[in-house]
Amino acid sequence: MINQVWEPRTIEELLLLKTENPNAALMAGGTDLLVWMHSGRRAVFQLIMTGRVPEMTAITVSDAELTIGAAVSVQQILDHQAGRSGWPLLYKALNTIGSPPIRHMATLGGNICSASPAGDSLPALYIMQARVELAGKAGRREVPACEFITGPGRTTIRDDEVLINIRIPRPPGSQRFGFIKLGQRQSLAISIASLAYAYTMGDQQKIDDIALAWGSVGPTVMRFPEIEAGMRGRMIDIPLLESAAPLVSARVQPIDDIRASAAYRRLVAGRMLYYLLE
Amino acid sequence: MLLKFTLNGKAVEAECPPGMRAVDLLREHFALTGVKEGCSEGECGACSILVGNASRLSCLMLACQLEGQDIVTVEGLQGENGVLHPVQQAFVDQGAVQCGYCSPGMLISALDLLARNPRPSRVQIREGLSGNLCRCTGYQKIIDAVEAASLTMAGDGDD
Repeated sequence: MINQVWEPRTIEELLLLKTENPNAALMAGGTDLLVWMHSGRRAVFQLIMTGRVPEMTAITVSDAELTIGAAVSVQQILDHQAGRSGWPLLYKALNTIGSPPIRHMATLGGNICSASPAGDSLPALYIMQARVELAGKAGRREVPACEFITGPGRTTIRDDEVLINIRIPRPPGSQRFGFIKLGQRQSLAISIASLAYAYTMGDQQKIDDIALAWGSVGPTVMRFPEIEAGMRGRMIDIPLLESAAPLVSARVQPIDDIRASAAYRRLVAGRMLYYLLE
Repeated sequence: MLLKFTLNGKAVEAECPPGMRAVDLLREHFALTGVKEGCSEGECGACSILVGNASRLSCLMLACQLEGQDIVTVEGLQGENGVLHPVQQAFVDQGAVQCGYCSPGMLISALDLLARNPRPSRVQIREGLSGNLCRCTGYQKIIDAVEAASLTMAGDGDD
């Protein structure tokens, strides 16, 4: 039962509240937190709302990177023209989250801090080498998103810390990319398996550099540097993908759950590579 | 806590406990039972309201998030004299209402969609309504109604 709600208007106020109340939950969109509270998965007595703190609700674009406040809604990110044109892989991934009203409420910061193995933004963020900026008693620090998330629902955030911003370097304009999400429905679906990919081509239609990241087939987003290395210098064709798919299937760590079996996820994780032919 | 916001065009105030959800404030305190609670977890869209021009799920909002906002529920769609909003009229004309439980949420989502995209294709209508579940109609007449409403509102309709 919530007995206290604060709505700080400045970052200083927010940080003071969090350091003084380390057990208080933070809420931006509430699209995970309120579900957990209603189901009893989380007991929350004190709540700090982040949606009225200017620094956390700003998006800024520079030549080098995109900075998204942790309380910016997914829809605000989607509506941001410069962000969308420079970081189209992120746009593709965010468009698969929930449904229209959920996208008006949910935030990238929340998607990261919830750290679901099925988080839709996460594979793209890992590929794009996103970093999170945290603020707390000891000051500010930046951590790569792939190091910040350590397991299902687990991050390295400290009790006195707040996720303030997400920073994403600008990808090369020549990059080809995609995000595939498999679910039981086209909308309002938690992903069964997902794949974010991005690559650049060199001479003779051969892959110059490639990054692949799978979601929902392990405790966190999975990447396989040795598979990526094996694809560099090769053409994207059926023989390449036929040889790579079983390597992926052997390495993923899916579980059985109400949405899909581990066996299906293992099979489809490799098969999703064929989308690179599109 | 004391909240002040605009509700269906009128300035209102409400006193509520800190953890109260928006859906409960609207239904219990303001008796706006057009806002339905279908699932309590953001998966059905029956609790949809407009906050500013954007649809949101009131079952996943705290009442304090309404503070200072311009809130519209389905009860706020019809005109002062009871004339139905074009989207409501289109639902009636196209037979898009059966049990009616999804209808308030569908109407709110339709308004959100049409505010962003006044001439949506049927594919875009499906995407715009993709957060709302209907167990009765099979969706086709709902899509027909939103399409018809978009034509009426853009001035291309028969009226």
